[in-house]
Amino acid sequence: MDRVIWLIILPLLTAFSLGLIKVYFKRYFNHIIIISSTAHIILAFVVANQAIKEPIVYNLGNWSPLLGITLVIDSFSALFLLAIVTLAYLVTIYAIKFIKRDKPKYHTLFLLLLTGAIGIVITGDLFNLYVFFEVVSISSYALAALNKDKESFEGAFKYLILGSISGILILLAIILIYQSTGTLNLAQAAVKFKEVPRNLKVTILSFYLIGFASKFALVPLHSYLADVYSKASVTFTALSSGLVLKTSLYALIRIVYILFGVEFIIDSGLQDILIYWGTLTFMVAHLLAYQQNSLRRLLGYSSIAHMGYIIIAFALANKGAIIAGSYHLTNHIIMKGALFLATGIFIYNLKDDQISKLKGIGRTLPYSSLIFTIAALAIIGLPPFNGFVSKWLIIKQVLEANYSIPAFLILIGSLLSLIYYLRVIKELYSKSNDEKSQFKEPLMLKLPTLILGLFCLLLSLLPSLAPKLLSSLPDFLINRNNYINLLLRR
Amino acid sequence: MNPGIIYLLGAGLLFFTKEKSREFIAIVLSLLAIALIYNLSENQSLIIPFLDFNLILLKVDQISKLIGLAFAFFGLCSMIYASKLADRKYYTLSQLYIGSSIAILFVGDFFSFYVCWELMTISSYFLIFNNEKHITKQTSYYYFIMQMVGAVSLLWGILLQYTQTGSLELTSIEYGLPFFLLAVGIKLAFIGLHTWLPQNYSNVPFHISVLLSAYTTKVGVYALYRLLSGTKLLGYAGIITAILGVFFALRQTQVRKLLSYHIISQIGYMITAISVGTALGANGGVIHLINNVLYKGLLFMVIGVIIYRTGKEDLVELGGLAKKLPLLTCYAIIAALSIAGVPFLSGHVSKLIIKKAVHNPILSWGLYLAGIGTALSFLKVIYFTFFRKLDKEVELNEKSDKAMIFAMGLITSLILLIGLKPNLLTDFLALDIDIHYFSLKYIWKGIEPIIIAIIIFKVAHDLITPHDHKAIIPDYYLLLEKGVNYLSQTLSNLHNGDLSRYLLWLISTLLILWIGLLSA
Repeated sequence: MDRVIWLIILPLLTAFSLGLIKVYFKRYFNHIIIISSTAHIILAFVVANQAIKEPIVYNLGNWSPLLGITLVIDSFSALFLLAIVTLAYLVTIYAIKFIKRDKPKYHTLFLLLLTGAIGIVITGDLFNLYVFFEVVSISSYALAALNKDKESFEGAFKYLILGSISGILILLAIILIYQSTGTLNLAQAAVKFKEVPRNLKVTILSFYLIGFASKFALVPLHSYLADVYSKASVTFTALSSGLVLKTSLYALIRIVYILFGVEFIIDSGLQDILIYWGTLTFMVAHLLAYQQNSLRRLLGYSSIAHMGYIIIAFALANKGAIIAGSYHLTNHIIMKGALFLATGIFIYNLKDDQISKLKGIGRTLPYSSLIFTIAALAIIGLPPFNGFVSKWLIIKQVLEANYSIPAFLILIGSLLSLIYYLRVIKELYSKSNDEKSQFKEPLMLKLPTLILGLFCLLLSLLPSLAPKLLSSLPDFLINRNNYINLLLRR
Repeated sequence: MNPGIIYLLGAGLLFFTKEKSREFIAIVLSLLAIALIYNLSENQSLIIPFLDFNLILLKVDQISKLIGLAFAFFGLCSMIYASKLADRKYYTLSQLYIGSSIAILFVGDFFSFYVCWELMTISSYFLIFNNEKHITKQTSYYYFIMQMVGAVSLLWGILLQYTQTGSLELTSIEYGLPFFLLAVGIKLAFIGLHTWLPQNYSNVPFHISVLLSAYTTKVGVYALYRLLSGTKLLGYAGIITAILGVFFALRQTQVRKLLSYHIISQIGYMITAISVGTALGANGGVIHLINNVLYKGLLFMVIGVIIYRTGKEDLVELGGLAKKLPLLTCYAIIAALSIAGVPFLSGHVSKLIIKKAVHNPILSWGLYLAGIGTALSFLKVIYFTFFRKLDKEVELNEKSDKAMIFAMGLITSLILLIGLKPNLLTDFLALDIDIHYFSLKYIWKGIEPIIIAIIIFKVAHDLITPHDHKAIIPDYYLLLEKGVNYLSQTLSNLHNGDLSRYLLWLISTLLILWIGLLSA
């Protein structure tokens, strides 16, 4: 069972050895990164495969779960694990060609980010969760500033300030939990949490919610995101939208479902709040995306909007909704990854991401344009692509829970997203006068993009496949006792 | 198997084949599809479980079979017609477009219905979006957004119907009527919701407008028949569409624009017929639909050839082509007379059935009026294109293309066949009516509007003669766009990059949330 811990150790080790490798084995730098990440993805698949069959609990150094560090992988974390590692792997391959300046720094930070993200997903302990959360945050501030120009610094600075505040709030919440329950093990805290007075519970919840929500950018906590995205390299934006946003969401969902429980979500009015908050988020984000001229900002706002959809699904707190939300989340990672990587190829050639400059790219960069188009149509939620099925599931669940206005607005949101994505597609395929024949799509950039695009198509062609895979997923969320028993080995 | 699948798979096949074999493959596929549709029987079905419901991918009845045959036949003709101009993009997308139009006829549940509906929109968007014609960049954008408004409201209607009844079976709807009305209204270009149609059909390359003219709106009519059949109020809306459509058509000088408005007007006929709610009305509407696919397609093909050979399509510039293109003139006259409802041509049959089905006097008079308008506008087209003497003759630039002529010949012969043997269609639908199509009374009725139209044409000759004029079409939907722009601009302005403002947002959200949760 020691494999599980290698999920965290391997990227961490690679990250810190890169400094040495840079000096002594510069020729093998790329090879070592590829070998390490290939080993990592294989490991992740093996572990996840095992975890889906039978949840894994791993106590570090064989300490008792009450004292030591515990790692838990149930099917919900396995899904996140797979999604994160797959995206990270593809982005790594992409980055080897794409990143030219500060390559060792980039890869070190990136591997730290990955370590943190995986840590968040598989830890069973609130304090470790915080530590990994900060690892993710700090490496992403640095990655955001890696371009070293004025705008990146400005964006990264805002990111840092707002991120630190959210970190403080989370830490506060953890202190309050420790004070009231005397433990930081998620399962044990959950057991003792039933006796905590309601007001304190609500306070803890608010701190957690704001803390994590400002990371996954619910409106109006989203303010830094566009500034960060507008200048950061696409490899970072792809990871940020795929890893940072999603793992913060994971952490929130895990804590709310396990610590507070499904009944609390419904009784405390949290359900209403999250659903209308999510609705506000996606409407505002779609409207903001509508105005953007920079493709990266547009995609950033679109990511915020989709976080709105996903949080709505998870707020409903029933089996179907969790499946719908997870499915949409997986789809979003794939689609947005494809969009960002395709955008990266445009930027690689154009050195710019203004939508008006994309004219005629469809002819000179056919593959990336095609992938962009397919992924855009999918993310709008047009059939027969995968985004449609997950949106359909979400709307159906929302409607069945009698929230008809949010359900209707989800459709309006699709309409708005069509309008702004179509603006991009229109430019891509219109005719341009100046020759761009020297433009090219290097294989190392094309391949990861194509693979993500293929995933999109694959899920589109077999739409019922994914919900079937996800069907066992809510077991450890809805019935929190399953998770608690699992963790405490009862 | 759903016959649409042949086309959808064919699209993939055509994408990967070489230049020369494409035309051959496309034609073979069309023939295959026709054979398959012809051999479908009503007891065939295909059901696949999906998520938590069943997808009914094949459900056959005589009406969908008949429309399917017409669609597939027209698909074949347009493939032949376009063979000289078609490229890989055209073949792939047109197969997707035709395939989804045919697939939608044979599906039996709302989910697949919606999927096909959207697939049509996507494929036709890329068909319209054409680099040779710069203006299509804007018009296709408009088209997609408008269609998406329809699709969104269809989806919402479907979801309402599904959550209320718990079934996704494709039947007459019980819930969400206004949403279905909007969706179908946009698809079939109801007057008022028609703005996407003329600007697109008149601006794309002609072989694409031939294709477009046949499917999108007709699928709208089919949806009307399936979902909203017998909504009485629609009868009046149909009449208004028919009359206004023809009125707008009369004002046009650009031939394809005129024909586009004519599509709208003819759709009005079908709406009226279907809204009667009897089997006779519905079948009349469907037969009219099939006729319309044929003769409207033929007219678009005719004008296509004129554009191809002269490079002109405005009535102001055209004239005297009858001597130069006698065969084309012949086709055009047959199509025009058929659309006007002259006996022994196909239009006569369906118009007569519709007249039989409609009993409401207001509706009958409306139809009569629209009929006169139709005849008048086609007199205009035929006269000014083919017979008017011009001081400076129109020159022919390109050689005639045999494939085009052949495709038009195929359609013309079918029009004649239906006109001379009306029972072919009515027997197919097992329609039990006893109309003597060629009795003197009906022949007179068929010719009457044309005679009136000729009289009006003579009297108001100067008014009808095409002049140069500026086309100003007010479009109120653009105001909506301005509204969204304004909203979005205001929101963007809130994000001024000031960190203290962002911090304020964060803190106040925290406070609001905390107080809200405490007091809940």
